[in-house]
Amino acid sequence: MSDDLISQLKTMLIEGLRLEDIMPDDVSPDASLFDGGLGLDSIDALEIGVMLDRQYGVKITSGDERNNQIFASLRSLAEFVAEHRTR
Amino acid sequence: MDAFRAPASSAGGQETRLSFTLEHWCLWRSELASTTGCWPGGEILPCNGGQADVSFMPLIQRRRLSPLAMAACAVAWRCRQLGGDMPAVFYSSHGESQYYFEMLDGMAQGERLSPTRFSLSVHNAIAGQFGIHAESHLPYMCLAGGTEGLFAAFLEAAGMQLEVPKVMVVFYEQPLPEVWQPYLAASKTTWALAMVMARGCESGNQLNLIREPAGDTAEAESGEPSLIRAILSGQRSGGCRLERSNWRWSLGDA
Repeated sequence: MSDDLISQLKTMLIEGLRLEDIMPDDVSPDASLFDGGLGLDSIDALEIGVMLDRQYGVKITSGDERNNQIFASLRSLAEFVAEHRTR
Repeated sequence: MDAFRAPASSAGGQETRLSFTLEHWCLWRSELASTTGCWPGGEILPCNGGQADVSFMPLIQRRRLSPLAMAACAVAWRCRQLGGDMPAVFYSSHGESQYYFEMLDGMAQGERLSPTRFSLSVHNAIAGQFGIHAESHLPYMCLAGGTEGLFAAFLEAAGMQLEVPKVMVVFYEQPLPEVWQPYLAASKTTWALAMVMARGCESGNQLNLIREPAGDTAEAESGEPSLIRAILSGQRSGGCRLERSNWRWSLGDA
């Protein structure tokens, strides 16, 4: 897993979720995406799932027990994408 | 005083008369509009480069608003600030047509639907987003286009006023996706209008509307509705022929 992938995911989140007031440097790889971190909610989680599928061919389902771990931070999300990406 | 009056019309069918006190109105459109010579008791919000200013909303809510939702929320919020919390009627002929056409196009190409885009394209989504920001627990009604055009919202408001003294009516439209434009004479601009309507009374700006049944088919209005053009130009009375009815309206001082 590379810093490059973390950077790509940051851009994907900021553009895809229209976080227009947030700069990539404002997002720490280890900060929480939800629960007061970036302030994202459950609809954003679904949206991230669709974006990851489109961009990396990664499938995340809403009932997956690992979701809390996968979505804990940008770094954990990048680790999951690096391991499961098909493109 | 009730807003409804329904004497028999000379044409045979039931004529319906609605009477409101227009306490305040607020209009925004994506192209510059003159702020002089318009109807009294209201305001035109700045064009703001073609996108309504919704900086009053926190980013977490604002980022989900479409250009159409921004327009509707901007005018509704201004009326909410001046008139307080009240039940509301939201009216749009075609709603989030840009969003749902993009989704249909994506589905045709086998793409997964965006959950955000889907949830914000249902017809009551804009009213819902506004209601969350306004922290309103009062009834909101959402209407789409029908044979009465935007006048359907006035009928609904009059009905609501049998129970409550004041209703906000919010109208909003945007250009249709290009492929649909040859089939419908829709607006070329994005615009939104909010009106705070109290029951008709003895003072203030009285907006009176009369609906007469009409048997033969009339052509749909093209571009912005005549009522919007009248508000902008200060024209105080006018009419509109629709598929099944003839609407006449006038604004006067009581």
